[in-house]
This record gives sequence, structure tokens and C-alpha cells, in this order.
Amino acid sequence: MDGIKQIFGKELARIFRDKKMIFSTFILPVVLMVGLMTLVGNLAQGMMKDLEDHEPVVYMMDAPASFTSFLEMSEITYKEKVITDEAQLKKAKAEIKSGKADLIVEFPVDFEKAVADYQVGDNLPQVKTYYNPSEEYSGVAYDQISNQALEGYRQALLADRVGDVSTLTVFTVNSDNDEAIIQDEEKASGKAAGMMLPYFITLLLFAGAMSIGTDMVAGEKERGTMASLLVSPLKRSSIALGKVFALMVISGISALIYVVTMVFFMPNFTGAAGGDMGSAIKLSLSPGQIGMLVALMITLSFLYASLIVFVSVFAKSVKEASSYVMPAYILILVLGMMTMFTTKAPGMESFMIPVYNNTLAIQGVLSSTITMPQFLLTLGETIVIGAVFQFLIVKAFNSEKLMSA
Amino acid sequence: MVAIEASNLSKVYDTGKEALKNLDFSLHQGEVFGFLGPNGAGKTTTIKLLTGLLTPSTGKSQILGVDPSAEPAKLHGFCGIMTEHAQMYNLLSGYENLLFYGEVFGLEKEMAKARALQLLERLELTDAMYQKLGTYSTGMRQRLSLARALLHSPQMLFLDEPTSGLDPESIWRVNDLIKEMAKDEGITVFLCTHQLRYAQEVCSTYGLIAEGELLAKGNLRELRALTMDALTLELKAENIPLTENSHLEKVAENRYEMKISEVEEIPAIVQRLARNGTSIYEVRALEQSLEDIYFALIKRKGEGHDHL
Ligand SMILES: Nc1ncnc2c1ncn2[C@@H]1O[C@H](COP(=O)(O)OP(=O)(O)OP(=O)(O)O)[C@@H](O)[C@H]1O
Ligand SMILES: [Mg+2]
Repeated sequence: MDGIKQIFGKELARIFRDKKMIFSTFILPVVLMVGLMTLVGNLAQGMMKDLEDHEPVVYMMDAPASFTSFLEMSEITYKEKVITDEAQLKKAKAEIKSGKADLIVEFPVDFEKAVADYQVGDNLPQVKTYYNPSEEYSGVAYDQISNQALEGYRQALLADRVGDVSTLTVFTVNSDNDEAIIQDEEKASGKAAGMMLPYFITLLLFAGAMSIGTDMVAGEKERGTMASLLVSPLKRSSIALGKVFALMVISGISALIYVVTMVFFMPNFTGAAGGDMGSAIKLSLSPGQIGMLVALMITLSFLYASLIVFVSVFAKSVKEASSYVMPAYILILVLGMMTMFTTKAPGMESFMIPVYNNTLAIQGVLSSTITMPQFLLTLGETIVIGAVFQFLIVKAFNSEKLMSA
Repeated sequence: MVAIEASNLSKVYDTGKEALKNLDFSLHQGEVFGFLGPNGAGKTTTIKLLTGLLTPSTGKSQILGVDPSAEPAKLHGFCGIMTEHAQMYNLLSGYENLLFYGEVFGLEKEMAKARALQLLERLELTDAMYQKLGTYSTGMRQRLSLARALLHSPQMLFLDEPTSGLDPESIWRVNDLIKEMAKDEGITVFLCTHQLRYAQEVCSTYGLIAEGELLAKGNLRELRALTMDALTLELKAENIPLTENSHLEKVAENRYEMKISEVEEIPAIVQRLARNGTSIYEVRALEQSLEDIYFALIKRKGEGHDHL
């Protein structure tokens, strides 16, 4: 084990004595992550606000005065455009299709008279509305005016006709129930944040380890400095392990920085990724959760470090090494993406797929859904695979074909 | 005492290239051995085999009793090795580089500092010691690499082209250092080089290799004996009838040369020329230089006389 310390120390010094390195390794990715999550959050909130603020453009055809004043009373704001004939209706429909207008409300001619003169057995007057479900504004306008306002208007007219509406109502749904939405707020917000964050983190961890790790091995070969190490009395296994440990510590530190960032910035992210309409849900990580996250990320760093160093041994230059690592990177990208789209709770078998299980586990910890066996399986498997790579790295370092001075 | 012992050492690369064929030789402690041969002869391959960087296809070797392929790390503890492409860290200064390697070689911090300063001084790098290696010239890098190889005061030195890229003054200084170490500290030196003239200044024995085969080994005298024509006779003369003296070669106006084996041949040659009316102004007998021997032996190998 003698000699690991020297190599380890040298590799750490290379990063920590260089301000640019410290910035690009530890600070930049975190800034990027926070920036990205905040941006996504703001965009989502902005979109929501925009929808709420938008004044729908509504074409009214033969609308009775009582309806427009009803809308006014319900404080629904909209831009009214009055149309009178079929030709105008056709044009309005085209505008709905193109998204220029949001809703058409077409009343029958003499609607109020038809309602007032109603006799049992008459045809009921029909109000027609048109909207475009693929336009968000249109959808909102339809929901507000066609579903809610018209329904209210009908109730009002009905009351006029029969006096007491209650005799005509069998039951109501949630008319007086503020607690209709029941959810574990921690779980909900965690689940929301848990969608994107673990994905970003596993990716950023890998990307960071990739640039440093390929340089540590392939870069040293390329620059001829490995040759000088190979003629020293250090055991080759010491050189290899010194490097892997250094890389592991460096990406472990970035992992810790990610966890700390998560703990402090999570409240900002949750509204964002959750799309919870800005409900002031706060995610606070418990010490247990933090501990689990740290364990998961450290072992993941170990796996990444071993994988990247192993692949780099086969390359003669950083460029070559990067192209060898790229498939692994893409695989991790895809595996991470899969976790963003899994809807049903992952079973034990999902936790057997390496890397994928790590992202799942981080998600699981954030949303408090992970079970202890799942957590331990992930941890154990990651360590075992990392150790296998370590073994292979030491073998590769001893190969004269891969490591010639 | 025997420092290096190689028996039947061969190396066949994965490509099928037979880079070294049954090398047998031994070196005594304190010898400065010049390993000479054309490009691709197998010099670097030999150094790598002897230092445990490659494993031999057949045969084995021992360096001060240690088998390089079995215990490379142990070997590197008492061998200084300077290979062709080995570099140090561009982002560190020359001094920092030496301190790092001092640590790698297991020197105490103070010891490493003292040794580094001493070598920097000796190799005329003191002025540049705080400069980043990235700013060093080829020759400065080469000298720093030599300093690295000497840091741990090795008992054996393997140097692959240590003076390539150096200006004449630096070569002279490096040669001086090598000679001094061999003399004062009894260090054995295995030196690969193409610079035959400089080799002749520093080496005590030579090995000549071509196409993976050791053609000859010995000191200058022994090698001279191998090439039958041990001497070159130089003449400054006028009116030589070249038709009758075809073994004489005109090298310049009024200057001629011929190969002879012994000084005793000279009087007869001079008498014969004088009798034929030649005016002789100068006669010199030169011993064959390493370069002459090298070319003679390589030429002979080319002609297919494999066994000398
Ligand atoms: N890693 C390798 N794989 C395959 N062939 C090799 C390898 N290294 C060297 N060779 C071949 O082995 C032969 C001997 O090479 P070597 O480097 O030992 O020559 P050398 O005497 O050091 O030459 P130079 O004077 O040019 O440095 C050459 O033909 C070379 O092409
Ligand atoms: Mg060579």
C-alpha cells in the first residue's frame, strides 16, 4: 500500500492548488445545477401565472345581456367579441383553430324568450361552445366559461324558474370541503424534486469525474509522465489505486457539495419541478435522509471513478479515453432519463440494475419511498461493481501492452 | 563484481516483431557501457527488458542479483532510469518536480530538497528551478530528467539517449557527470546512444547491436582487433600513380588514406611510393575511431558475415 499516498496526494494537489480547477470541478457544476433548476422552476411558474393572467378572447353570438352581466358579476375577465351571422362564426372557428381566439359561445336566437316561454314538452334551447384543447389558453377559457360560468348561469336561471333549487338537487360534491386534497406534503414535494435532481446529480457527477479521470490516466500516458512513474519504485497497483482513490475523493466532495446544495436550495426547486402551483411546500431533509444520500453518492462516486479509470487505461490519449467513456456516459444518461418517466413504484428488480438503481434510490430517499432492502441492495451492488473494476484496473496497470514506459 | 547479467534474452512484440534475439552479456560494476546501434536495432527494447518494463519472451536477466521482471519495484529502488519518452509535469516547476519524485522514491523531505538542489546546480538548472517545466527547452528538460534519474543516488543507471537534443557544451557536462559518478561512486552505467564521438569520451566498454543481435562487445582495443584494419594511414603527397596503388583512397587534393593492420606496414609503403617518384609531405597513422569500427561492423553485418 506504500506509494498510494504519494500518488493520491499529487492528484489532489493538482486540483486543489489550481483555482481554475477548483472552480470548474466543484463550483461551476453546482451553479449550473442550481441555475438550471431555478430556471425550470421559474419557467413553470411563469407559465402558470401567464395562464392565469391571460384574458381569453371570447366570441359571443346572440348572448343575452343577463349572461354577460352574470360573467361580470363572477369577476371573470375576458375580451368579448360579438358576432352575429354564420359567416362571422366560420371565421371565428378558424381563429380558434389557429389559436388566435380562445372560445366561442353561441346562444340560440331569442334565448331569453325561449327560456321564459318554456312549456313542458318543448325542445330545450341549446348553448353551443367551441374551443381548441391543444391550446392551453383555450382550455382554460373553456374550463372557466363553458364549464363553470355557464353552469352557474344555468343554476341561476333555474332558481328563477322554480324558486328553490335545492328541491332539484339530490347531492353536491365538495361544495363545502376545503380539505378535498389529502396528500403527504413532504412526499409530494420530494417526489416532484426527486424527478429531476437525482438525474442531474448522477449526470453531473459522472461528467465531472470523466474529465478529471481520463486526464489522470490517459492524460499522463499521453504527456509521458506515466512513463516516469513506471520507472519509480512505486508498485503499479499503488499508482492505480492512488489515482482511483483521488478521483473518488474529488467526485465524493462534489457529491457532498450537491447534497449540501440540495438541503439549502431544495425549497426553491420543489415548486419548480413539482408544478405544485406555488403552494408553499417546503422539503426538509431529515438527518437520516441526508445520511442515505451521502452514502449513495459516495458509493456512486466510487463506481464512477473506478469505471472511468478502468476505461482510461486502454486509451493512449485523453481524446481517445473520452471517446471510450462516451458510451458509458450515454448509457447513464438514458438510465437516468428512464427514472424520470417511471410512474409506478419501482420493485426490487429495478434496484438490481446498476447506476439506474442509484438514481432510483436517490429519488426514493427524496420522496421517502425507498425501503431499507432496496437501499442496501443499491449500496452493496455499487460497491461490489466498483471493487471489480478496481481489481481489473490493477491488472490492466500491470499489463505491459497497456502500460509501457 | 557482476552488475548486469543477461542470458539468452529475447523479445518478440505482439506484432510479431523480433526486436531482440538471444542477447547474452554481462557487465561489471563501475563500467560505463555504451550500447550502440542504428535506429530500430533493439536498444530501447533491451533497456526496457533490463529494467522490468517489459517481460522477456525467452531468457532472463539479473541486475545486482534482482530479476527485473519479478521485482521491478525493488529494482527501481536502486536503479536510475531515463527512458526516451518519459516526461515530468509541465505545470510544476523543475524544483517541484524533483521534490515530488523525491517523495515517490521514498526520500526524506530534507534529503530530497538537498539532493534536488545539488543536482540542479550540477546540471546548470539552478536559474530555472522555479520556472514551470512547460517553459523549459528540450535540453533543459533532458537535463532535468537526468536529475530525476539520479535523485535517489542509484547504484545503476540506465540512460536511453541522455544527450540527444543537448548542445555540445551540455553534452560535455553530462558526460563529465556520468564519468565522475562511475569513478567516484562506482555506479554502473548502461548508456544507449547514437552519438558515437561522445560515447567514445565517456564509455569504458561498448556493445554493438543491429537488428536485435549483439554484433560485438568489448573495450575500444578489443573492438579494433575485431575489425581487421585497425589503423588508418593518412598521407599528404603529390604524384601518386593511383592505378598501381588501388588500396589508396583520395580523400582531398593531395590527401590519401588507406587501411592497414599494423604500424609495421608503414615503412614499406612509404619506400615503395618514394621509389615511384611520389613526393611525400606528411604521414600519419590513426587508430580507428569508434565511428570507424561501428561502420565497419555494421557494414560487415549487412554483407552477411553474422559471426565475427
Ligand atoms: N511496442 C512495440 N510493439 C511492436 N514493435 C515494437 C515496439 N517497440 C519497438 N518495436 C520494434 O522493435 C524494434 C526495436 O525497437 P527499439 O525501440 O528497441 O529500437 P532502438 O534501438 O531503441 O531504436 P532507436 O535508436 O530508434 O531508438 C523496432 O523495429 C521497433 O519497430
Ligand atoms: Mg530507442
